[in-house]
Amino acid sequence: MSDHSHDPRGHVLDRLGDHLEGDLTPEDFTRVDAHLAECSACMAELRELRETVALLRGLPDPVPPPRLVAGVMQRIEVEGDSRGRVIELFREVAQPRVIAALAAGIAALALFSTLDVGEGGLLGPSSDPDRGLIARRDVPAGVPDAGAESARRPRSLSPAPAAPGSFPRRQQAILVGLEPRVMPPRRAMAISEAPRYGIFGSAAPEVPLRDLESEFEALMADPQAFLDRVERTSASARRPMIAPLVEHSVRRGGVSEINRFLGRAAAPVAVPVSTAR
Amino acid sequence: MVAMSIGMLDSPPKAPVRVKGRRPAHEIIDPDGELVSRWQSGDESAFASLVRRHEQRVFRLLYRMMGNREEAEDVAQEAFLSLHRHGHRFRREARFSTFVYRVAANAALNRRRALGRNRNRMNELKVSQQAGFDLPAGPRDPEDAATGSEVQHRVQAALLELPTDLRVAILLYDIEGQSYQEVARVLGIPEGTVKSRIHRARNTLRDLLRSYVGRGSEGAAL
Repeated sequence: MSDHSHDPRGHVLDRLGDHLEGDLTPEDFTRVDAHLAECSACMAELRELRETVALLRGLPDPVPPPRLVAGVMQRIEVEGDSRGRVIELFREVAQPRVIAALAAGIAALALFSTLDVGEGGLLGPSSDPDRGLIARRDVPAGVPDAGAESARRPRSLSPAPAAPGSFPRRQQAILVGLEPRVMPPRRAMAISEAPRYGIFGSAAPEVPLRDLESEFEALMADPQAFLDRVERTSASARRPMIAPLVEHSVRRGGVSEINRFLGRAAAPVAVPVSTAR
Repeated sequence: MVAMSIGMLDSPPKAPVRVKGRRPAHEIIDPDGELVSRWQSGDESAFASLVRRHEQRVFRLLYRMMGNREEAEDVAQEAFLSLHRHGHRFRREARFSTFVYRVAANAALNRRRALGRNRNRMNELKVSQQAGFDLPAGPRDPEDAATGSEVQHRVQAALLELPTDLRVAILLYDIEGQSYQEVARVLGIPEGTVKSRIHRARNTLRDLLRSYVGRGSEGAAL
C-alpha cells in the first residue's frame, strides 16, 4: 500500500475507489479497513462515494423508442439504394469520357479486345468477394494462375499482358460499371489515374488532396447526402465534381475500399485495370 | 443448458447488477459470435437481430450521454448505421458488444463535438434537462415517485455537467457494467487512465450531488 504513505495522516482517500470495487489485495484491504474503523473522515468519504455510485446505478433504464430498430433497417436500405444511385451517377458522368478517351487514342480498343467478355461478361459476379473486385482474369500464357492472388492482379489493357505485378501503380485505372445484364461491357467506364490526361482528361480539375480525401470519406459515410449535393448541381458541373473522387480512390489505393462501398449496392463492381499509354 | 443460454441472449441486455469483480477479463466467448458471422456473410437479418439485441444498451448509454431522448435516438441510429458500414472491421479481438459500445461512444462524442460548435444548442439541452424535460421511464419504486424522479433529474443533470471524457467512462463502468479493461478497449485508452477518469468523475458527481449524499444515511449500500 505504497500510496498510503503519501498521506502523513495515514488517510486512505486514494484507495477508497478500489476498496469500493474490491480491487485491493487482501493485505491492503485489511489495512484500509483498519484505518476506516478509526478514521471518521475517511469513513465519511467512503460513504459519500458509495452513495454517489448508488445514485448513479439507481437511474432507471430508459426505454428505447419502439421504432429504433425499424428506423435503422430502413435507413440501411435507403443507404444501399443511394450507393447504387451513386454508381449510376458515376457511370452516367463518366461515359462520355470513355468516348473521349477512345478519341484521344488511349488504347481503349485494346481494352475491349483483351477483356474477356465471354459467358461471365466483362465484370465478374459481384456476389463473389474476390471476383467482385476484379473482373475476369487475364492470365498470360506461361504465367501460373495463382488463384485469388492473381485475381487481384490488375487487368492488362494491352494486347499482350505483362507478368503479374508488372503494372506500376501509376498506370492503374479503375473500371466502374454494372454487371453485364445491367450494363453491357461497351458502356463500362474507365478512369485513368492521371488527372490531366486520364479518361476524364482536362475536365478533372486539380483538387487539393485533403479536400478529395474528405469528399471521399463523406461519400462513403453518407452517399445520400452526396447524392443530394450532386443533384443540386447542374449536369455540366457533375463531371468535375465526381471524376476526381473516383480517380482519388485509385490513387489512395482505395480499390478495395471502393469495392466495399460498391459491394453494398446491388450489382456494381470496381475493377482495377492498367492503362497502356 | 444451450437452450437456456439462447433464451437469455434473446432478451434485451439489462444493466447488470453490480457484482464485485465483474466479468473475468480473460473471457473470450462472444454471445454475438454466431450472429456476427452470419451478418458478415451477408445476412442482413442477422444484423437486424444484433441491433435488437443491443438497442437497449446503446440507447441507455446515449441517453445518459446526451440527456435527451430525441438526440439519443438520432445518435443511436447513426451508431448502428456506422456499425453496419464498418462491421467488416470487427476482427473478433474483443467481444462484439465492446465494438458496439465503441461505435456508440464515438457517435456520441462526435455529436457532442458537433453540438459544441453550437453553444446555443448546448445551452438549450442543458436548460431542457434541468427543467426536467425528456424524463426517463418512471422510478422503480412507485411509492417514492416524486422524490425518486427529482433525484434522477439531478443525477442526470450532474452527469451532463461532467466533461465528456469523464462522463463516458463512468457511464460505461457504473451504468453499463463494463470492466476497466473493457472500458479501456472501448475508449482506446490505458486502464490506468480509465480508473483515473472514473475516480475523478465520481468525486465530481459527489460534489454536484451534495444535497443527496453525505447526510449520514446508511441506506445507500451497493
